[in-house]
Amino acid sequence: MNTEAMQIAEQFDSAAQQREAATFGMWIFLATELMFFGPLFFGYLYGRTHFGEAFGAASRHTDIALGTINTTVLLTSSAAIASAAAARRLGATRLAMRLLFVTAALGTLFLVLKGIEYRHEWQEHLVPGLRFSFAPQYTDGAEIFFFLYFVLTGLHAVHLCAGIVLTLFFALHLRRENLLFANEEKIEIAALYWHFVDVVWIFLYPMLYLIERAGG
Amino acid sequence: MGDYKRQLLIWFCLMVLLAATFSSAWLELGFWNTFVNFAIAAIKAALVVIFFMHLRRGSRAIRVAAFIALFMISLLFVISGSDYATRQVQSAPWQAPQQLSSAITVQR
Amino acid sequence: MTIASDPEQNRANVPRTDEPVASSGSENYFSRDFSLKSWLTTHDHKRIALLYMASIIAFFFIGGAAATVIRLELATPQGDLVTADTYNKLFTAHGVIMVWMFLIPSIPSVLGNFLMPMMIGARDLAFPRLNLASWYVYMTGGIFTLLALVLGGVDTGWTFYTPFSTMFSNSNVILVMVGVFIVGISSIMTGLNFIVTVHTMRAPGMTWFRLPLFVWANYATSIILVLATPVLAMTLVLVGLERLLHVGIFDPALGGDPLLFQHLFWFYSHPAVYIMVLPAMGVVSEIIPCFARKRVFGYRFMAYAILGIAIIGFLVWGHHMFVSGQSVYAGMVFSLLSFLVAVPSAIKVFNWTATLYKGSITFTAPMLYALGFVGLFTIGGLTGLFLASLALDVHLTDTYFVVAHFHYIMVGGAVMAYLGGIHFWWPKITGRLYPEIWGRVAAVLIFCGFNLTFFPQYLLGYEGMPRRYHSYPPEFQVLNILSSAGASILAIGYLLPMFYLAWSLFYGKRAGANPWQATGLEWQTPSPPPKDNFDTTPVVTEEPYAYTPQITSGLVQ
Repeated sequence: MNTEAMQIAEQFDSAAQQREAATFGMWIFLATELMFFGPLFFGYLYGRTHFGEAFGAASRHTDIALGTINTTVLLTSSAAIASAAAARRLGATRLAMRLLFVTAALGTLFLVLKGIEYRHEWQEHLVPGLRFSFAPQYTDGAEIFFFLYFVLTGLHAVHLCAGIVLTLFFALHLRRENLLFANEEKIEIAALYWHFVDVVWIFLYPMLYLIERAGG
Repeated sequence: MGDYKRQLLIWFCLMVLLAATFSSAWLELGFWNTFVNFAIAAIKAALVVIFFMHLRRGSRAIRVAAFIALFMISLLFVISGSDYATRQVQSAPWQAPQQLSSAITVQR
Repeated sequence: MTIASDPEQNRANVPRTDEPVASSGSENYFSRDFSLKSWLTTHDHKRIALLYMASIIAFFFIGGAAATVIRLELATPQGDLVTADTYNKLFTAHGVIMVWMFLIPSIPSVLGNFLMPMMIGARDLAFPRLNLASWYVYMTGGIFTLLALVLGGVDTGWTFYTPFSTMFSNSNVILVMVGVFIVGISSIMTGLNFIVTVHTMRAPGMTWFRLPLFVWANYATSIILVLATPVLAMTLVLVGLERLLHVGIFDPALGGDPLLFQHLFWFYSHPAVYIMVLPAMGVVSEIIPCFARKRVFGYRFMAYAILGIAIIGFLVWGHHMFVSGQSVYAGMVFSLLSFLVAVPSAIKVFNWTATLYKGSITFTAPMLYALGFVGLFTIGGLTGLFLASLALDVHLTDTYFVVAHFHYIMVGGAVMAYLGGIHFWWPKITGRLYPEIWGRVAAVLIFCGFNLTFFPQYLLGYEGMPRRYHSYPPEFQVLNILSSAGASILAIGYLLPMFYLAWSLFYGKRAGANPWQATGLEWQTPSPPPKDNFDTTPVVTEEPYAYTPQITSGLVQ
């Protein structure tokens, strides 16, 4: 166990109380985030059941290669930040710092690949509301699919950005040896947030990329 | 070293599951495609939540919070879904509304 | 926690001023620093509560101004005071401001913020900086909303139904939605703070079933806040996107479904009404035992009922959609569940009544408000059952019956409880006693004005007057005039406390630590309390509400 001294905020009586409050607080926040994504998943359910074929046709227009690579990248980044938290707990602060930088790098790679996907989709007129065009018999459903696709992945990307900022923030503090500030508790909590962003993508991947891949 | 081994093991499982879901998508299984994909996604998520997010290590309050969040989102799906499942839809020809706002034009 | 066993001290109607008070020499949370900067950068939950109080008072009067114009217009059958469009904007403004800027934050962010840490024996909430941030976020959202009003208003109703709001409305829909979204974030922050605080920061000996019911109520409210509000937030985002880009899932012309919006909207907005009423019930559960000098009847059932209301409240949202095209079978399920949600509410009403039975009751201003709450909430709740019946709802939906129903609960219930709580804890917050006579006068005025305003609306609704119309058939005029007359009395009743409470800040009698001889940890601190609430962390050894009624013949006034 970490034997470093901890900064205890004045409203708390003990380090254990502070840690419990902070961890619990992050879990509650993640619960609100799940409810925030919820309506989008429900909208997807609506679209999928009402426009099954159109959703399949639209899904086949997503870039499965980039999508699958991105999923690999994000899952790996989750492993990286989990290892970073473990390293910090064991006192291996240089390793923790490097792993946090790796996590941030993987997250950034994800965003870059996503940006490339978006550009392709823009060029293929698949952005709803902005010169969208699709096979006439599927237009309504495909537009709904891509509306949800952009909102879901866009929202996910925004959350990922926040995660990258958070990760870099602690990585830089570790680089400057601010061990009291960048302690185990905080890095664990940042990791919780990162894992949540990963879990959302775990569901987005099959929802968006794998509908009727084998053909409608 | 034990902790890093666990990270590696879970990562490996996630990769295997990803390969499974990717390859199964190319098989024409109809409804089962969706089922398999969703099941694999649920397992992946469970691995991340239980092992990376240390759900078992957390206090009871945390586990209850996680469960309640899941339950709430299912509630939205199930009860609203019951409306969609039991609604009797009678189609009517599309009638454009008589009064459109001047500022907004509907592009259809 | 020790309770005075001397029967003399058990009388709550005589406020005590002979106890040690916080003199001007010793520091309390208010007097320690008067600079503006110390207020705007405070981490102290008590100061943040006062920041909220100032804000919600301002929003209350803005929303009330809209209501005033509405009632003036409705005094005559013709639409002669304002145009139909302006009228739409007025009731939208009234709804949006009263629901999101006033009612939802009122008791939790003012009384909850001030009292919760003290009631559990803590120095502050779990996340004081988050608390301050929540106020700034709230103010930002409020300003966006006011901006939308100033720039011409919104005419969709506070319910923003699609496709009108997404495709056809010409008003500042997106701006007001941004405002509501931001305010929603503020309430999530508050709810998160409360939940973590109650779980992790209770003083030694303060077990769950020794918590005051006010804490239980705010805890359950916070659970609803964190789970339901994000759904509203996303729904508003989707409406905004649909309005901007003309694509989305809510417009049938695009393959979408208006009921999808309604499901998502009401999934939040029904629990939202429990966000508004549960804290009010918590306040009433503190006031009634104190002024009946009797412990709450059935404390555990009261706690379970609070949780029951919160849980079942999440299951009933479809009762707002009975005539919208929702499946009849789903409607039946929602109707049944709506009947069920009345059960825990009724349990609470029975238990308050049983608490009063054989108590030593004094009719102080807080008690008048609390008793008013019980009566008016009961009426409002019962009429909710009318609306929950599918067949009756076909007749009553979108009429003034609905308007009367929810105003009985929101105004006759929640607002009265808020005022009761402000009066009850005024000595603790300010160290002063308000003038009791004026307190009682205002309470009675509000009660009478309220009933005169809203009871006729039940009759109007039953007879078929639709809501949200600025003109109506002449045969409805008499009842409308009664309603508008009542509104003027209500307005006076609401203005009175502004004056005498302000007066009391400067000229009121100084209050001791426990002028009402109430139980609860918050009364063990000086009035006003010091910054850290307690000198040493209290240790709780007694059950809550350890009052003993006394039998006297002829009570002193």
